[in-house]
Amino acid sequence: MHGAIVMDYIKSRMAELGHAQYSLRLRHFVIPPSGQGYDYVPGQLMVLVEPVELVSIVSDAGFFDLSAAKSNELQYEHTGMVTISNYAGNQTAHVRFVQAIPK
Amino acid sequence: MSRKLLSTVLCSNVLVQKRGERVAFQILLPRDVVRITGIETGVRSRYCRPVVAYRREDTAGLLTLQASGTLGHCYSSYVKVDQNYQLQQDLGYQKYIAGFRYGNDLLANTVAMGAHREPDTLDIVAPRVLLGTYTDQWGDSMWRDMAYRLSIYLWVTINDEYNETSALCTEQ
Repeated sequence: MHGAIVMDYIKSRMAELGHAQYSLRLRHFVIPPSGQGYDYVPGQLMVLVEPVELVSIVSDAGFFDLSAAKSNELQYEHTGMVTISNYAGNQTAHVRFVQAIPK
Repeated sequence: MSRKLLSTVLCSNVLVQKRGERVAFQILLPRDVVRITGIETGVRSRYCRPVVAYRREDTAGLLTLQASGTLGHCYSSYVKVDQNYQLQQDLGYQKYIAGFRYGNDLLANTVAMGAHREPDTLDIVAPRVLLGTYTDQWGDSMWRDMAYRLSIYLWVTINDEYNETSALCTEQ
């Protein structure tokens, strides 16, 4: 997803949720081979900036995995408990999000 | 004009075909729906004959619903497939008369007929779109691709004043 689209999306989504003021953070997760990363962001938005291969992202709001053929749709927006799993055995994964935190 | 509130049920179907499949879907609610008061789910197999069971399992999958314009789920629950277990007995059929030549495990695992369940309470203001996700677990537990249809029945309250106003506009 293009960065400008992410910013436009967050702006309209936060307005929809009733948050006129919010702060943004750029999050860059580095996940070791066969490792996992976690973050707990209740009431906040985490929007995936770009698709990442060999990585599974599961959260309260959605699921993202380019390798999984069992889902008919993938979600870029995440919230709540976000779990990032890297199932590449020999490759470190870099996963970038934009996080919106209501003030 | 007095506000007339009526209750009705909306049905939406989701088709599951693969083992462990995760289906994302959207339910577009009519504009006259003002509130969702309950939810009921049912599962119906797409096979013409009963499926040979690997083992007895009554959980079909996990259904989660999210109202548009909100964050987080408004409903999250496991869908059960235990309806016809009692229905066979209600009909007074023995398994041979009913045409099933396998054991009771088979009867517990097939969804040949519908049956009634009490709706879960889901008391929320109706959104324009209900975003849903269904994750199959039945196929995983049965070790096969289970093809079935998940039916979601939404018990809703509608504001009939909206329809009366629309009818007046149409007449003019």
